Amino acid sequence: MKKREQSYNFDRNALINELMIEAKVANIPLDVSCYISKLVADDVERWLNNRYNITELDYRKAVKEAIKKYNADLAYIYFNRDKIV
Amino acid sequence: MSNLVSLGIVLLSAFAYASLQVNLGCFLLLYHSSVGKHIRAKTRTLATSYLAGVSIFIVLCLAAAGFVLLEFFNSALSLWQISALAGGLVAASLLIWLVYYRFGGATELWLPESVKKFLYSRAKSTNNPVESFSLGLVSCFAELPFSIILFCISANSLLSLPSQYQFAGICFFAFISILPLLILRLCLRKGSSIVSIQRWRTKNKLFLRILSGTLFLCLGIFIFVFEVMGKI
Repeated sequence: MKKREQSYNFDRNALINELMIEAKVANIPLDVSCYISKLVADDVERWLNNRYNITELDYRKAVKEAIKKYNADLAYIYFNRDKIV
Repeated sequence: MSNLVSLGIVLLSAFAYASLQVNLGCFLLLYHSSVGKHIRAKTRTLATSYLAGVSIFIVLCLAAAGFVLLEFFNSALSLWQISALAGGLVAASLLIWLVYYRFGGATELWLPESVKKFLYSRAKSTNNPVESFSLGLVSCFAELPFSIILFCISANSLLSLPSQYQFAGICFFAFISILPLLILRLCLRKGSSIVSIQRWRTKNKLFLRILSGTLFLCLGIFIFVFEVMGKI
């Protein structure tokens, strides 16, 4: 992925951790959040297959689509956490 | 009558202050970052410290404004100074209606980018009550461009009250000002999630903007009618 001319690799565990934290904020039970996070990570990994260079915007869009499929509240808080103030 | 007018001004100022959004947004930010990291009890402690920070800042600012008026303005503002403050309130109401919130779906405000980044980084790295207390102070400080007029107006009105009621008036102002934060905390404690609260804020953004601007405008008109025209 590219972010302002910086490249970094997809980190599945980091994504799962982020989603688990946000799920706790959204009052989603732990087992459900764990299951959803893994499903989202799988979806994103599948989407990333055969794509070598993508922008962060594309990546975020893919993550958003994946989360929206499983839990709307989680998608809302994950993508609005930087828009509270 | 004069005491009633002063109390009315303090009450309206407090409601106008309560309608501002930086404190509320920072409280949500703090809660959001803390719930994800800590156990509930610690989050509650941080929230309490934040509320204490906001309350103490308001009390100190109001007391400081009163002290400045007492020392440098002979305990009461002149007619033209009150008129200027009333004009400032009308200008603030226009600013709130037009530019307080950023355009778009979220509840973002037109804060300077550096202030916004600082608030986000502080909220994320807050781990103990002292940091949370200082975050409360900083969030109030970020709101000073709008709230300083309210402090001056309220301090001027409080100084016209009998001295035994002045401190009670300051506490009353602080209590009304933190009322939205107390209600928010109660809602979170009763089980509401940040998602539902943030959704409510986003959905009612226009209402909050109109309410806040109207309160500033009403206060400006109230002061102009009772403090300026009433004394001419």
